[in-house]
Amino acid sequence: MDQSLGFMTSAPSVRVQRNGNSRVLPIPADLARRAHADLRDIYDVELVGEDIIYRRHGAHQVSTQGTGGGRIGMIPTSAVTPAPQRSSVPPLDWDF
Amino acid sequence: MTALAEWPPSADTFYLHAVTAHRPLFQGDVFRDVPFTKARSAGNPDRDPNVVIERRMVALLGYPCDIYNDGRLVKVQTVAPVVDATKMGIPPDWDGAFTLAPLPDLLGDGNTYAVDLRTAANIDASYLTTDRRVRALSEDGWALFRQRTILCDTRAMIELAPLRDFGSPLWAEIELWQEWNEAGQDPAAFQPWLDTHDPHFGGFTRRSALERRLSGQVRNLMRLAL
Repeated sequence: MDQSLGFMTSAPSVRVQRNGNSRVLPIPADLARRAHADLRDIYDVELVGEDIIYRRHGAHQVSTQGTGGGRIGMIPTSAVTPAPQRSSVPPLDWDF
Repeated sequence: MTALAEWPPSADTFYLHAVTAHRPLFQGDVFRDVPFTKARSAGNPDRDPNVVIERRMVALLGYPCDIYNDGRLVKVQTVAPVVDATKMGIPPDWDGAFTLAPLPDLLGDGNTYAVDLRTAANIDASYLTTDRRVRALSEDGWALFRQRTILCDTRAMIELAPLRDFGSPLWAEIELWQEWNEAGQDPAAFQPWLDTHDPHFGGFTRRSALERRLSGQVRNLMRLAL
């Protein structure tokens, strides 16, 4: 049921592109405002049951596996940077 | 939220403004007057250590899925001590303080404290009572706390956006659970309710719907059930 689409906002309308074809769909202006959607923002669209889920497209999306206590996230490497320098905290002793 | 204008963040960013007993215990909650156990060497590896027990402030370390089992607190919990950050030699920008998680203005007196993530102890869950809870983290504070624990253990800095994104279904769950409790329901009955298959979600569980970011629909269903 999932369908990945891309669209650019030009609130109160959005241009949806799929397989090279595009069309314009209306979107409530209030919804666009509350989502801080700006012109040329790109979102991914997913159909879940009868609901359409819009997620802001970005390089740092987390894919997940499992559910409940077994749910884990896969952090993209682009969201990870090494710590910049050596520790500045004194070594641990029993007086902590 | 991918960047912060100030570091460490303000208390307004870091904590929930009002925490009642209905709020389920959660990762990063700070408690006072909790027995923290140290096992110091007796000077000989063949002898048992000298055990020192100190009553102090601690932060709950476990991931929420490990704190609870079937909606009840797991008997054995893991906590880390809260220390006075001004005594840790931390630079103003916190550079290099990888092993500490800040707790800005923890007690409302303007002083910054920190969770020392290098040390942890197991305690009985019965010591973690809501009347001893000093603070509970906000959604942003929880993302920051997880960022610090990962930084401590891996020396890798993960941006806040994916941490918050991944955590949002669990955050929605805890908010629903709090609302469930506020309605006078049995707290232990929430998780079974959440794990119920529901025709409104095509036969999937309400939890599965929550994890698909349908928290609004799950909340509406729950309010009808309350």
